[in-house]
Amino acid sequence: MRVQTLDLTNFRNYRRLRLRLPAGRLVLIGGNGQGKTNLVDAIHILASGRSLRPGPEAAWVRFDAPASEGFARMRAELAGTEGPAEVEMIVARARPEAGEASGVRRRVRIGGAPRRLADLPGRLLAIGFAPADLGVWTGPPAGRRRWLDLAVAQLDRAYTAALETYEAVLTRRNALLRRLQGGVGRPSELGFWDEKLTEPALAITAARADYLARAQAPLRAGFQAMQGGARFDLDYCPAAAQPTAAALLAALRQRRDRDVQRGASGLGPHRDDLAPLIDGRPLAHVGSRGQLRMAALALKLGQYQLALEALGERAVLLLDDVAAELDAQRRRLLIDQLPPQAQTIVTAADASLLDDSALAAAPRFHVADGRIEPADA
Amino acid sequence: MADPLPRAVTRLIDELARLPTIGPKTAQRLAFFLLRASSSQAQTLGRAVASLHDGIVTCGQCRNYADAEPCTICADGERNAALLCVVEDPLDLAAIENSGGFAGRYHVLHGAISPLEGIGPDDLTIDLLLERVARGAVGEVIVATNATIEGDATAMEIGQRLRGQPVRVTRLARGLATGGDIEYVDAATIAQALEGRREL
Ligand SMILES: [Zn+2]
Repeated sequence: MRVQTLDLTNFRNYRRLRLRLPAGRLVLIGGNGQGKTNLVDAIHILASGRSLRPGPEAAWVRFDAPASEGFARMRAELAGTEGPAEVEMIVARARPEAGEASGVRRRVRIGGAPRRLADLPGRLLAIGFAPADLGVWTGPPAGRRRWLDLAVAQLDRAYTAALETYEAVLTRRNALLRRLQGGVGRPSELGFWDEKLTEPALAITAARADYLARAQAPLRAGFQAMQGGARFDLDYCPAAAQPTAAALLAALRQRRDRDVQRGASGLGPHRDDLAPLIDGRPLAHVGSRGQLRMAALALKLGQYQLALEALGERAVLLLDDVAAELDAQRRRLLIDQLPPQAQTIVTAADASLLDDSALAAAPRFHVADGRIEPADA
Repeated sequence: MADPLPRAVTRLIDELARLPTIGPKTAQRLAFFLLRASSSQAQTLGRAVASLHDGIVTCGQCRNYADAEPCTICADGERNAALLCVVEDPLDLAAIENSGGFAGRYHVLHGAISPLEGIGPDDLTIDLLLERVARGAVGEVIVATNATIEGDATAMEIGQRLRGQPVRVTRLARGLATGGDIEYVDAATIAQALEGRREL
C-alpha cells in the first residue's frame, strides 16, 4: 500500500497542498512548527481517524482560516494490492451561533461516497512512530490501549464501531452514576445501560484477545530485532474477563454500589491493560529505560508484520521526529529494521542525524511555513 | 462608536439571534427583510409571536400542545382509542400524523431519558401514560421514540413499567436509520415502520 497523492486544505498550518509522494522512502526536513509533523499527521488521521498528537479536533482546522472556511479537508489517493482507492475527511468547526454543539463535525468519504467515521480505519494502512510512543511502557494504560485500538482496527472492520458504541453508552452510564452519586434518580435506571454495555464490551474484549494471540510471534520477532536475546511476551490483562453477557451483567450489578460511590464505571474494556514480559518477568521491573523504549518500537514492527501477514498489504510507515529521541546506535538499529519495501515518511529537524544510515540516500524535502520543496532544487 | 443601525433594528437582530439555528448574519438578513417588507407583513408576524402563548393549553390526556382541552385528536370519536402511539415530542407526533398511516391516539413524553442532559424517567410523562393504560381502553401501546440510544432507553423503561398490564407493547420497526429522529423521516418510511412494529 502506498499514498500516491495527498491533498490538504486548511489543515493545521497548510492553506492548500497537493503533494505526490514517492513509492519508497522520503525524508521531510524542517524546524518546529513548519509543518512536517502536520503532514504525516494528516496521513495518520486518514488511516485511523485519530491524530498523532493530543488535543482537540478543532485544532485540525487552520487557526486563521476565515469563518467561511471553518473546515479542514484531507484527502489521499492510494494504491494497494486491491487497486486504487481514495479516502477523505472533512472536519468542520461547530458554529455555536447556528445552534451546533461545540467541537467539530467530521465527515468521511471512501471512494467518493459518504461513509460512517467508523468505516475509515483500515482503508489507508499506516503506522505512526511518534516520540510520545517511546514512553508507552512507562506511561498510563491509556497509551497502551490506544496502540492496541489502532492496531486492532486495522484488521477488524467492525472494531471501531464497537468502540464507538461502547464509549457512547459508557459516557451515559457515567453521567447517570454521577446523578445517582448526588442522590438523584434510582439505581434501577442503570439496568438499561448495563445491558447496552455488555454487547460492545464483549466484542471489544474478544477482538483484543484475538489480535494479541495472533500478534505474539510478530511482536516477539520485532523485539528480537530491536533488543536481541530475551524472549518477549505481551500479556493481555482484560478488566472484564467474563465470557458471557449474563456473567458480565451479573458482575456489573455486583459492583453497582461501588460504581455509584465513585460516580464512574469501574468494570469494562476501558480499564484493560497490557503487560510486557521478558523471559517471563515483567519488563517494567527488569527492563532498563532503553529496553523499554526498544520494546515500544517492537510493538510497531510487530503490528506491521501482522498486518502484512493478515492482509497481504504493507503499511505506510510514519516516523515523526523519532530519530532525535534515540542515541546513534539505537537510531541505526531502528532504521536498519525498517522494511525496505514499505513506503516510509520520516521527519527530522536535523537531517544530519540520518546521514550515516540507510535513509541517507532517500529523497529529501524541505518543509517551511506550510510549503514543501525538494531539498536539491 | 455610534451604532450605525436604528435601535429598533438592532433590538430585533438581537432577539432573532437568540433563536436556535439562527446566527448573527441570518438575524440581520431576516431583520432587513422585515424592514423592507410592508408594515402589515411585519405586524402579522409580530401578532403571531405575541399571541403564541395565549390560549395554548397542554391536553390533559395526550399532553400535546393544543388550542383546547381535550385536543382535536383526543376529542375525535372516530379515532381508534385502543391504539396508543407514544412519541418523544409534538414534532414527532406531527410527522406521524402527517404520514396519514395512523388512526389511533397519541401520548407525548416531552423528551427522552438522557443521562447526559440530566433527564430521568421521572422527568417525562410516563406516570400519566400508565394512568391512561390503567383506565383500560388501550389495547396496544406503540412506542415511537427515536432510533437513538436515548430513544431505546426510554422504550425499555416504558416496556418494563407496562409489564404485567393487559396491553400489547410494540416498538416501531427499524426502518428508521439508527440515530434517526422521527421528525425528519418521510411519510412512506413512517408508514413502513408502523406496519412492521414488533413486540417490545
Ligand atoms: Zn390530546
